[in-house]
Amino acid sequence: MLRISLIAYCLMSCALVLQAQRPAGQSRSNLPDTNPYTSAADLEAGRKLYIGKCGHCHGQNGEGGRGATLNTGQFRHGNSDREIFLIIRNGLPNTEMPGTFNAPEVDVWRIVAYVQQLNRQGLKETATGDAAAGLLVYGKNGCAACHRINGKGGFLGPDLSDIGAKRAVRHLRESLLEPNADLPLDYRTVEVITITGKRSSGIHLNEDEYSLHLRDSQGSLLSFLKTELKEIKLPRESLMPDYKSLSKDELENLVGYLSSLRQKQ
Amino acid sequence: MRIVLLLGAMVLALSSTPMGQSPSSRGLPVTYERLLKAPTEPDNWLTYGGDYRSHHYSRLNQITADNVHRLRAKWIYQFHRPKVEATPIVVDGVMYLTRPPSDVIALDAETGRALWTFEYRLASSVYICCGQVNRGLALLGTTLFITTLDAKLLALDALSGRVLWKSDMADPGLNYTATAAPLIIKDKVIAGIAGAEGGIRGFLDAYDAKTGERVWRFWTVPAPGEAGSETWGGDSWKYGGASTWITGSYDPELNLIYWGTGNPGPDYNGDVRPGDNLYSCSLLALDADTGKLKWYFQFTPHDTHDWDATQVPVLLDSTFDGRPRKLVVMPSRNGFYYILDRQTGEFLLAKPYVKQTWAKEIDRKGRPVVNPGQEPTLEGNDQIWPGVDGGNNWMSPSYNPDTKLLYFNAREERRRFFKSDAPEFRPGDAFFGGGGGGGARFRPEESWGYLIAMAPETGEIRWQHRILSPPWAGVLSTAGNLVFSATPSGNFYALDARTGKELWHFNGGDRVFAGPITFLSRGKQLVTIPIGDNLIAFGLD
Repeated sequence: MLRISLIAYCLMSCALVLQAQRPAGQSRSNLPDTNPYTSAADLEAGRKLYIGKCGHCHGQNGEGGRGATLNTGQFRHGNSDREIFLIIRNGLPNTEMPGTFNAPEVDVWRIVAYVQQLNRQGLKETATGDAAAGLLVYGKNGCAACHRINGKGGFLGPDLSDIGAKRAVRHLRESLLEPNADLPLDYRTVEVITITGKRSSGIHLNEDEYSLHLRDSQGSLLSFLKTELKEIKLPRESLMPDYKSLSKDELENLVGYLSSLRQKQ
Repeated sequence: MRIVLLLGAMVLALSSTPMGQSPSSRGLPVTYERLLKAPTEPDNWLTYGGDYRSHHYSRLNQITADNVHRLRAKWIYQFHRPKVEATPIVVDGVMYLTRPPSDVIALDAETGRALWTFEYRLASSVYICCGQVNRGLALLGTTLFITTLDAKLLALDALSGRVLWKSDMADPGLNYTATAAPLIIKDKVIAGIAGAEGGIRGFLDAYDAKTGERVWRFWTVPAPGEAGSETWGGDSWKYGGASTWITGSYDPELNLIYWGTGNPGPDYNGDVRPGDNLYSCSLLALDADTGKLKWYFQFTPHDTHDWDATQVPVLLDSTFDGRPRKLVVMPSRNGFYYILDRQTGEFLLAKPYVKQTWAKEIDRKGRPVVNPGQEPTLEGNDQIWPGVDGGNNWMSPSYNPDTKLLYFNAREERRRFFKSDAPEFRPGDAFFGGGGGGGARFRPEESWGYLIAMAPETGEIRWQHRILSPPWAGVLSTAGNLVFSATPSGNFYALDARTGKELWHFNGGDRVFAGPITFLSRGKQLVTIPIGDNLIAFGLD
């Protein structure tokens, strides 16, 4: 039986599991600061575990993506082995980062070892574009019609107020050129056609067996009973157009502007 | 441990007035003879499976396909606990149910008001893989029986909630836990164990209902020298799993218990347990008096996908290939529907009911011919169907003798199967050897579910009702030509049992991990189901 309950795990296991895997008397509070599993074999096992469990979001080489960059020499939520262990084990609340509740402790340590190795590369890619010029590109191309920055703009796309802190430069560039490369589930689109032939489309907010809800390009919340619909389309494409038509400078400046957005105000 | 006695309990204990005030309802004590004839008391719901054959069917027909559109919520009982997986028992207008972790509540089934609440405090910390759940009770005479998360079997006075006796099933410090509703057979309480994700050695027990003394134990993983022990390498049998965490069925004529077993341990890394790993992922037929093994059938030898065979075995007297047979049928978690002769264990048929990729075929003896490339890997293998939660799981199916159809929920999905180093057993620690998650990688529309109506003698699907995402709810069918079940989005619904046409639904607003039941309260038919942490009762307006 494999349906994991976070609450159950934390209540019952957080203390016990760690006690059991180290000498008696230890608890989560005295989890070692230094990773005990750092041999070459551990690193290789950690690499494979990372590719299977982490690379999908963080990039196969830690270059980032939907998840944070891990190869820049600096982490956002803690740098010590122990801190990274706890993040991998428990996940991060209010983010897309899940925990690895059923992974053996040794495997978590091996992932920590590999993540630290990635981090030592210090390969942080810094945006080279001019952020001020990028702001003009942002305005000229109507990005604010769909995106919101610090309370201003549209609702259709993701809020970008701190996108620079969340996404790697590489991922920002890719999102502009290939918007369908990594479409977050929260921003999936849907198009519906009613039995009277009326079409509506927007962000897919909620759906069950009997109803469907979306937010259209005007920010309006629309509710449909499925008995009123003759067709529901869930296109795999993002509503966002690609910006391959931008010049290289425009693109890099826009990436520079987005990368400079670090904190919600 | 604390017992909360409400005024209602004292009134109940002192009064001989039946709570339900239904002229046809029979109250306590519930004898074994009454359990044998449970289908003749549709005003009550006397056992986890509705009867010994686990038909989860009711002869009640006040609510019908013609009037079910008038079904309305009557009352709500709030558990204030997450993940309710319990099936209640109802006797003469009193509902007995459990809530996590191992509490018992008696309710007035007419109003949903609590008569008494027994709050169980776990005696020790317990390693549990999958939530603090409990799935229900058994009742004999005036005594309720519950297994607890810390691996005890408790007997409670049904009138007051007072503890009559407590027996240790196993040491919770060694990762043993218990979640299944017990089963009464004659004067014994049959109780299953859980904990195969923690490295236990599984068993099924029988206890004396009066004293709590253990009468027999069948180890589901044989020790060295015992039959089947050759299917385990080295010392792997010591932590071999094969738990018994879902209530089985019983044939009084054959005096055989039919009970499914769970995965071998560690779940996803089978390297340390070479062999078929008997009796994991199997259906056992045990003598009810002695616990001796009459026969077994293993659905998934040497499982590495956590495909427990802890589905509810349904007993049918029907024909197979034109010959009258005593059958036991089961939609297995591994994606195949199986028919066995329940007298001999003879394999009769296996048929996939969801997409499956792991077996090329099931051979004439019932053994799967396994496809290559279907094993968990270190990087994760997402090309395996069904997913870790299987085509079916523990949720109750229903057999309807009027339509002669078997109804059950099916799950169409895949997941990513990981294999990691084989763990060493340590108390309090998981014993997975991998994982079966990775759901976030798949688009929601890649997974869905069905309520399937199947001709049980052939495995032919007569109709299916599509559900947006894979369901966890049980199924109830009734003589009102109705099938009830629920979706993960919280919609409780009713279908025409013959055609599958949807007739009614209600948005309960949260996930459903339990099954509906039905009974009479003051002569009127109610249907109840736990939705989220609410138990909701429905009746005609």
